[in-house]
Amino acid sequence: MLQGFLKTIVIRGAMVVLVLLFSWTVPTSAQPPSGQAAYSPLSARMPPGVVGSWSAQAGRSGSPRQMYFQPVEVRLVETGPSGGGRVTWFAMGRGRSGSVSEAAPHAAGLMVGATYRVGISDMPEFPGVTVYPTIEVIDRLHPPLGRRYEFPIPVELTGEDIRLALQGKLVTRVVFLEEPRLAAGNEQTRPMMVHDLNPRANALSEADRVGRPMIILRLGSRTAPIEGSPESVNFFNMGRQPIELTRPAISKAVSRIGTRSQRGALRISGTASGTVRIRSTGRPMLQVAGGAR
Amino acid sequence: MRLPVAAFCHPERSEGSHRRGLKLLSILVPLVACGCASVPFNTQSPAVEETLSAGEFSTGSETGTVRIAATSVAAAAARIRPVHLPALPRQQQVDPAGPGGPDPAVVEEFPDEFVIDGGDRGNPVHYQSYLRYGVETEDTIAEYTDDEGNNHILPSNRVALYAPRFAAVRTVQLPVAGFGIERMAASHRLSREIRVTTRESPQQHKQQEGAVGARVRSRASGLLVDAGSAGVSRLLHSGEHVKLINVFGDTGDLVAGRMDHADMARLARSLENAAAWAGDESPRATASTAAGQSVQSTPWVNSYSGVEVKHKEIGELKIVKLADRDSARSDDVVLFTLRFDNVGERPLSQVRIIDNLSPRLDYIEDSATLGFTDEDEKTPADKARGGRITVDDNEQGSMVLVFELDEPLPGGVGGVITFKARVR
Repeated sequence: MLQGFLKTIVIRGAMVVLVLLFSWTVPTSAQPPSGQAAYSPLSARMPPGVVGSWSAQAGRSGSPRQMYFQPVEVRLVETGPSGGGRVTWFAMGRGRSGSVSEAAPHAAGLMVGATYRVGISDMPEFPGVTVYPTIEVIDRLHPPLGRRYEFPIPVELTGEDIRLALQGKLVTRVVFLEEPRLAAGNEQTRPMMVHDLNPRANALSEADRVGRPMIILRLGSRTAPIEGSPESVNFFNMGRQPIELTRPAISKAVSRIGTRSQRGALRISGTASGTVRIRSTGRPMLQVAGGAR
Repeated sequence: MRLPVAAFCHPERSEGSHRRGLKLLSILVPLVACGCASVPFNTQSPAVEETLSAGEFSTGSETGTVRIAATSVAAAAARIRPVHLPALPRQQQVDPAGPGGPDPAVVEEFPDEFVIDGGDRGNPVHYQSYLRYGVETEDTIAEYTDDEGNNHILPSNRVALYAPRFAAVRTVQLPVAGFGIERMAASHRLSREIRVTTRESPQQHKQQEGAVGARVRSRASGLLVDAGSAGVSRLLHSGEHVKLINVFGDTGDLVAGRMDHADMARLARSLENAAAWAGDESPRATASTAAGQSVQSTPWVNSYSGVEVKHKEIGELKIVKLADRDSARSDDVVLFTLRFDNVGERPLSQVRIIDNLSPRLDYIEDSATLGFTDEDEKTPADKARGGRITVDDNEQGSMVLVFELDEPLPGGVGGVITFKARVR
């Protein structure tokens, strides 16, 4: 009698334990949150220069802080039979007179944290069209010493970008350095691999998620103001930043600027490495760390 | 159905026991089914390497961990093209920083600008329950067994190529039209003109200003104040004040204890003063005892005889990875070299080198070669050593290469494996 009662107790106890085991679930509070994006205070929709100033203050140009000219190469893709066109660099806020125009693709050293205006013209697919995108440099590379211009940051403008801009749309490209471990074996494509996002999406945070944002390019259909007007200074100047040009470009700039006789002319200085800097004599000279990484 | 029942009901029990068991089973089966459905099992397979079969590979896609057959893959693997090497010096030491290449500090700080291959990043490669864990992309390891039967794992050095690659994200917006339509239409006019100016202002204020039923009681009629205090008395002086002036019972202060303390304190101060005054002179007392000893010895002529036994050092593998360039662009072909040496004196067996390539590297088929340092052009073909290579997808966008030697590697013998990869 007592033995049967004990067996019943044991069986019922085992059943209770099994019920508890199989009905237990992990509490939802112990599971990590998924799908929640981190808040990003910066966005590519901010006015040109805001993100660059943040990156400059964060010391993106190097530690200790230095003035670093990051080579940026502008490429034109599908804008003509040979992808032709010209790139015009506007140096030190001198408007068209201080500009240097070169056939694309062409690279120039842009200061990290600064925003520049460039002109894109002479595209065979778009005769008579000139667009003026802005390039905001927010980070830099660390190539082997003395080989900066072998590894510029490419900024590609395609014929589709030009068409969208001429339709009145604002095209924003965030060029980022791919994380090699997340590259997923994709072949390098030309033109550059581009992911189109929702217009409301934060392109900067998306680029930061899959790599390291380097350049913000904004392209619209804005036309250049009249030369000499107050608007033209702000338009071409974009923060009055220096620019570093390579030797072929500077020879033309020297021949053009050397004929000018007005005050505050540009000063050209070259180095043995083939890089030349244009500076204005109307403002304090800038100490440039030439050749350093 | 017999098997689960047997766990709860013995076959020789009575009919009632069978029925009880079936009842219990009928309760447990739905419970098991519901319970399993509610438990959030992780459906992803763990990053585990498993010995499957000869030449069979599998990878965990989330972590890049590779499962590689631990048994011989001779049946499925292709032979590595043999080459004859010139005389190579024996490798003794391996520089952990790697020979040449970019600045390791820059590679460490900005790894996204480099294509890295070699080393053992992330979870270290290790064995657990006969399974190998932690072979991730970019890892290059060698595994071997010494002649005492111990298994070893050895990561190579890390090779970094400066090869940044870029991509872009793009948004296209219509800023003017979108802003105007959303903000201008509805909200401002409805809320301000109709509600505020037309309806609310004239009615509510005037009716509530006049006081209708207020009464003010200006003076008190029945207030009585009891101005005088009848029974207040103060005790201005103490009636009794007893002060014990003379201490009759405190005899503890008078005994020798307090005096002794004072004496010791003064003595201590005196000692300190003496130490301070004598600081410059630093008096010391030195005592020594000189003792002479005489040693006497008697030389013994003895002779020893024996046989010198040379113990060979146990086998140990060293591995170095090299690349023929320190930077690359897309579509460049890079030649990687794996130099391995048995720096011990006893042989190593089951030598295998596993290279899980970075997603930025694409292995060029049939580009692998293998040569040994103890062979030359005169080595007969039937006596030349060989090896096999197995190439498989690592499901990370690249390949995992497994180089396996056919024969044990004798002591003091090394070899060189080369292969080519295209940079994506």
